[in-house]
Amino acid sequence: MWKKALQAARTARRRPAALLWAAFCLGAALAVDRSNFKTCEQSGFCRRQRGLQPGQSPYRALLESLQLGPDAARLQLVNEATKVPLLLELWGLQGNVTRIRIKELNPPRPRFEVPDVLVAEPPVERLAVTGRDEGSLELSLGPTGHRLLVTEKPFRMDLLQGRELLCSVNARGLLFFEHLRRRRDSFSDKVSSSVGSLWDKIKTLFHRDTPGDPPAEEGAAAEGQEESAAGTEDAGNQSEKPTEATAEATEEPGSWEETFKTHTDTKPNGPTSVGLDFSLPGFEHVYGIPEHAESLRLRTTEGGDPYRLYNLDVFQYELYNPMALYGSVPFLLAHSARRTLGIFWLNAAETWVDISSNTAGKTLFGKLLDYMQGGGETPQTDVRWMSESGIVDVFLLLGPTPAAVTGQYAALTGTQALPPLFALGYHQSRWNYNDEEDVAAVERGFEEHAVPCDVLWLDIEHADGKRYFTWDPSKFPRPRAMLERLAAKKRKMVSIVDPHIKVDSGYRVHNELRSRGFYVKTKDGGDYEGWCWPGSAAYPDFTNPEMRAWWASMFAYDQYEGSTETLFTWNDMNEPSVFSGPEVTMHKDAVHHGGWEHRDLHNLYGLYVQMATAEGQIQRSGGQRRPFVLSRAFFAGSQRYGAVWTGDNTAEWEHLKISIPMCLSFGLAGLSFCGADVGGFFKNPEAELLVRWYQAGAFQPFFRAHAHLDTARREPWLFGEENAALIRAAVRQRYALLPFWYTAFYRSHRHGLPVMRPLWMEHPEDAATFAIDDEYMIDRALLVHPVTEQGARGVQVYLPGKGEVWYDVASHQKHHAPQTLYVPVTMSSVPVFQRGGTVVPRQERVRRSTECMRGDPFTLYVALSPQGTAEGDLFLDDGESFDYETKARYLHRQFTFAGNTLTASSADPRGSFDTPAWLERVVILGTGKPAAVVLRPADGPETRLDFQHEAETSVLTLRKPGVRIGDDWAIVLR
Amino acid sequence: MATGRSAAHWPPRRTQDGGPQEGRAGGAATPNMAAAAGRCLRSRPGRKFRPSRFRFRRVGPEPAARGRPRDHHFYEASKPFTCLDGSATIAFAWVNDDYCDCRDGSDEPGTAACPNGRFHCTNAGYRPQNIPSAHVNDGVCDCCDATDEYDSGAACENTCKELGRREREALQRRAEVAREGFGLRQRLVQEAAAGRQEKQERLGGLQEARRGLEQRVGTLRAAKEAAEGPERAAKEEHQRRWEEQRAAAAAAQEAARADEAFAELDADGDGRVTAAELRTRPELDTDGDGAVSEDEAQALLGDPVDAAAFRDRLWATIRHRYRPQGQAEPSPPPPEPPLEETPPEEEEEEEEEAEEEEEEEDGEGPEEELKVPPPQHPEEKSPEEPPPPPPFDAATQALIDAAQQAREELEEAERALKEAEESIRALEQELAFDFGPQGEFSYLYSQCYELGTSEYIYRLCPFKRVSQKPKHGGAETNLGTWGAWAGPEHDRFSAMKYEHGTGCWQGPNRATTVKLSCGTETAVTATTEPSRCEYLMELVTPAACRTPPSHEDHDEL
Repeated sequence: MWKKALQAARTARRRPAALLWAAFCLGAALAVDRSNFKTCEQSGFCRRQRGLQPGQSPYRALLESLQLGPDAARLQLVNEATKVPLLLELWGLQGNVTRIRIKELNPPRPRFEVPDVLVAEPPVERLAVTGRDEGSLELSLGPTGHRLLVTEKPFRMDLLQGRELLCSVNARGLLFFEHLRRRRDSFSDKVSSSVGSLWDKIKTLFHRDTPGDPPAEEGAAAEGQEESAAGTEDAGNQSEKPTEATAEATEEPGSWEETFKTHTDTKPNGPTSVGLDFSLPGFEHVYGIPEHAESLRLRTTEGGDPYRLYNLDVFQYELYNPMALYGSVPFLLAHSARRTLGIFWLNAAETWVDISSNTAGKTLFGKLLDYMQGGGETPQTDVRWMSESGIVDVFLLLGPTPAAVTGQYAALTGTQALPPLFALGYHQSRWNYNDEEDVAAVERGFEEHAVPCDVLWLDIEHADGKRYFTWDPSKFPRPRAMLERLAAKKRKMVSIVDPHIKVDSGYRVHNELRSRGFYVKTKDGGDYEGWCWPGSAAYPDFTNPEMRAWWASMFAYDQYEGSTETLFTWNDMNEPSVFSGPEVTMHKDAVHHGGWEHRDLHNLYGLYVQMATAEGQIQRSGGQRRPFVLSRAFFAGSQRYGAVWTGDNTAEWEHLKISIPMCLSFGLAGLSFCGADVGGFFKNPEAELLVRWYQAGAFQPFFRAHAHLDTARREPWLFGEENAALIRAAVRQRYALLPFWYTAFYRSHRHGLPVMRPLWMEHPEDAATFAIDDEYMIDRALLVHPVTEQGARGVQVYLPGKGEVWYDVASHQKHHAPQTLYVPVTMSSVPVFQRGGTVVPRQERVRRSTECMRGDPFTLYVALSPQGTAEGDLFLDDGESFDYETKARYLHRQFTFAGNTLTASSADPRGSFDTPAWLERVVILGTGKPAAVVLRPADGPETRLDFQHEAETSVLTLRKPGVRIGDDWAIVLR
Repeated sequence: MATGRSAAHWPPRRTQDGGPQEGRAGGAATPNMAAAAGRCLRSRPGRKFRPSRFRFRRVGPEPAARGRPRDHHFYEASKPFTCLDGSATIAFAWVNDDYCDCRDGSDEPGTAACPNGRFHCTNAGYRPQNIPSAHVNDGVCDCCDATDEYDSGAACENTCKELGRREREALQRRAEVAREGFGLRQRLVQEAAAGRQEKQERLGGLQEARRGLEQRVGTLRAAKEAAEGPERAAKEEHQRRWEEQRAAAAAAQEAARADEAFAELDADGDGRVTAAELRTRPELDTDGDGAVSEDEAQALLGDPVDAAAFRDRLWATIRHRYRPQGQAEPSPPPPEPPLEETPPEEEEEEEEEAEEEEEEEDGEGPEEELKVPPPQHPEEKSPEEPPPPPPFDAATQALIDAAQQAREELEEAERALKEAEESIRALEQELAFDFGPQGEFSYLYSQCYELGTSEYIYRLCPFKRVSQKPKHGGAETNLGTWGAWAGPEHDRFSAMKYEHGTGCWQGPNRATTVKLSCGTETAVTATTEPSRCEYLMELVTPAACRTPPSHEDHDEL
């Protein structure tokens, strides 16, 4: 929702003199302005880190310093060039996870360790030393048979299971830990980054001329204090030449001050970055580390920039590009036909990730040749992480299955919050619905055109002068009455509450924040102010728990005037976006609670905003009701607080296409509740694109249409009756499948499985699926291949699974797998296939909103496997409260089909929930015509069921079993 | 009703039909249904629909009105039910049993089971309604008689009477407005017709006048040309004589100056000017040394000259250098006064132009082009300049006066012709406008209507343009100029489109749609900007009161 240029242009509208400027903007606004954002070369620490080439690591493990505690093993590492000692900590965590932490043994100041992301201190396994020799040490990591081999010199670690090497750490010698140091005033420290690269080149030249020059020793001598701290018995090794890059770190220009464009970053703590490499033998496919506008499978970064993780408000982002976007999750997955593995790099500072591969660029034939000649290396992917500050804190998630890895990640950072049911319905948004009449008219449109809709959204213009928590008195004079009118139709509303607060002494929120000292501070101690929607704005310090508690209290009905229990929240611009700041965000030397620099925790800010807002919604209901908060920025753990979306996309086919890999990557990183603005935020979609986007969006977890202020209206009925009917059909499909979606979300909430998954998660051994990102699974039962091509006549759908079958949900036609199926499409087609062997629950009485469908009867779609079996489940509760958790008020039903009998039983006897809902219909796909069908209730006599059988498609429809959905029963086909 | 059941029986009241209906449903249903019914009876009251709580809703008069052939078989309990689309025939017990059997939804008129079904609310006291089946028992009160929420637990009240009353009142008000508006419209139609006729007559008159004027201009032009010939000749003759006189006078003056100089230079009064006498006049120096040498004097003079030779020969050589005695060194000419900056004048001019433009816009144009240029003030003659020519002699002056009169008369006639043409053009344009089927919108043609909002004043000048001006200062923005009537095909005069207004950043040019509705006054009642730079304005006008008030409107109530 980048609105700055527009704001300016609006002013320009009234002042012809500014028209030229606006025209200039117009030209610049067509695509992302890359010069606003740093490349690795322009980011001092990334340049320093990346300047370090693979080679012999200067670090040595002091094996004799090993201390084996009840939880962790600790030993020292020393950089033989600087002699600064580091502390290496190793944990074997329950559930196949190894944690590695490296920090300074004696830091002159504390270094930032990321709080509030791990859900708990993970339970540990007992470690044991299982082997030891001259230069190495072997640790057993618990009962799973994993062992860690620590090599003394150069320091490296190898993680093995049995004889198989899973992962090596620092195998390429790229551990680079910039210890804290005192400032030395020298010329080079003041060279800004813009001339840094030049300086670098000059120096490199100089170096080549005088190879014997030991600048590192000079540096070390100047840091005598640290040297003494590092004093060990190994001083004899000093003669060994340190690697060039490590040595240069002490000399690197821009280490104590860095300038980008007009912004200077005073770096009072100097260079503080950390970097480390991981080698993954046997892996050719890596995924994750959202948010990037990128294919599902990550590409190698050699020859370009690394993937960047730094939450930024990027205006009109480009596709297939490693640039940073609004959110960051430093979690990467590697997958092969044999196993899946994850690396979680717990660091909230600006982070860059380099990916390289020894097979990149090789053709399949080339790989085959290597293999046949026996000389080929094992395929291997190397991943290198580089962060600007903090410590090395990394979790190796050893799987071995995809579900195990996502489960392990969820055990660390939490699972997806179970959304209130309404949030899975359709959301109608626009920047902006102008006033109460406008809202009423749009709502009426949904009624008149029979398009279900759960939520109407209000963007920034609803507030009084962008003062969040208020309403524009002329446009929204009676918000409560408006909300009540919507609530009478069982609909909700979301209003935007951004974290930039207008600096205005007449604004209560600002006055309280200022008087309580709750704003982020500048390096000089004043309140940090920047330019954002309201003009001059200050930024509440969400890292301060007291501030968060205060913020949460603002959502009480008497604090947020005009709010009701059907009003929910959208946190936008929480990267944070600062129009006047470097890279449109906050200065890195701004100061947070506890004295931490913004640099240390930048990527965490957005998570805290959503956390505090969600907490506010819980509190306002006395802890009863589940919150709904949408956030643009995120970090590892944000899944615990609500939904996220892919930000300000564009009404173009390529943007529709990329919404799939983007949300798949979000899901792998724990963020299941993902969506993209349906229709595209910028520009005007043509009708065909809009229809296709609705069809695709209906099968993505978060389903919201949204549009820029400058776009033409595009509510579903504005493109002619034919298109309205197509959109209506798409939205109705979504509503009919809500029980299935809700159950998938419950599974995600319980087990950390993504709701929307890559095919390889369900078919991990099928290498053909590894790079597919134009189709995907919803939970384990539905395969979706939305039409994302203009003028498409058909799509190629890959159906995975040897010996499996799939049923087209529209025609019920059965297809054998594996195969690539050509599916002809019309404008009404949304290719979706139900996997043979699954049961999908639906509610086919689609109504105006989810709340209206509560208690409606269910239909079960039983798709038989070639073996004549199927299973599936259904989760059901009140859809809005925490009672499922606190009072076990829920139903989790299991449906199993085997031996011509469909059986309903409890999947979880702990839960119970009273519902009038009953079983309306059973549709069995892939079965012959029975002579009779008998219903056997748990208590009561057998009864016969009426049925219909379509011989052509082998579909059997059982009429009105009528049993309550919570009951146990069996249906027998005879 | 063909079935012989009066509509009043349907839908049956819950209290009356609950028991028997249930019994019948149980009896007619398959055994499992009964079992289900039994179980469901135990479920909480006031929750969602229970399959057994059998409801029978009459579809109401609509289907019958559509003339379906099987009308009289509708929902007769004794016979199997055939779906209205003929897609299936089912046991009567399956009608309204909360399971959809017919593709057209006709077997479930009283439940939410069919995705495409309709539910009929009688809404006694208000208008009957067929709502989508999906709205039955969904917790939202849709029917004012509350019959749609018979099993959802929603607390719906019967509001039909109140709604009916309000609707009647509103209809009455609307009818009154429509009646009054229609009356006004009829008057507008008459006025428009009269106005049109009057304009056409005026046009005829103007066209007539134009012809006369054209003729007159022709005649006057010839007369002017005829008068200007003699005038030109007389003026030229006058000029020629005057120039001769002036030349003669100048020669005499020069001779007199030469004689004066001679007298001065001839210091010894011997009637000759000698070289020695010349040498006393340093200003006659030719080589720039400040003195006249013997040689220089000799070169100038040759032999001493007498007065006549001096006048004829030497004077021409020295006259520019020679200074009469007693006259001081000529002081350099005073510096010219700096040129006055002229912008104020220009500004004035601009203002004038602007005014002119405005005038033009206001349709009072023709005159300005004939505007007489401001009279030139005769500038004061400097002494060196030749004296003014003598006045024309009486004969010449008479010719000039005659020609001038001819010119003025022509100008006047041309002006009148242009004026007439302008008026004709404006009238033709107005007459060509589509002011509605009966010209009823013509009265809007020269009007403007304004509406203020918190931020802006919107101004609609029908058939011309729409604009927006910020209340707190700032320039006016053009929201579009007249485009066309833009209502749907059957109702083209219900909306106007104004297009090509000021451009929007990254967007289209501003445009406005004006929706017209019936009212007794003419006023802009609302303006909105539903999409960026696409404005919507509402104009009430009696001209839009097209239908004469009828009594059918509220008969339903």
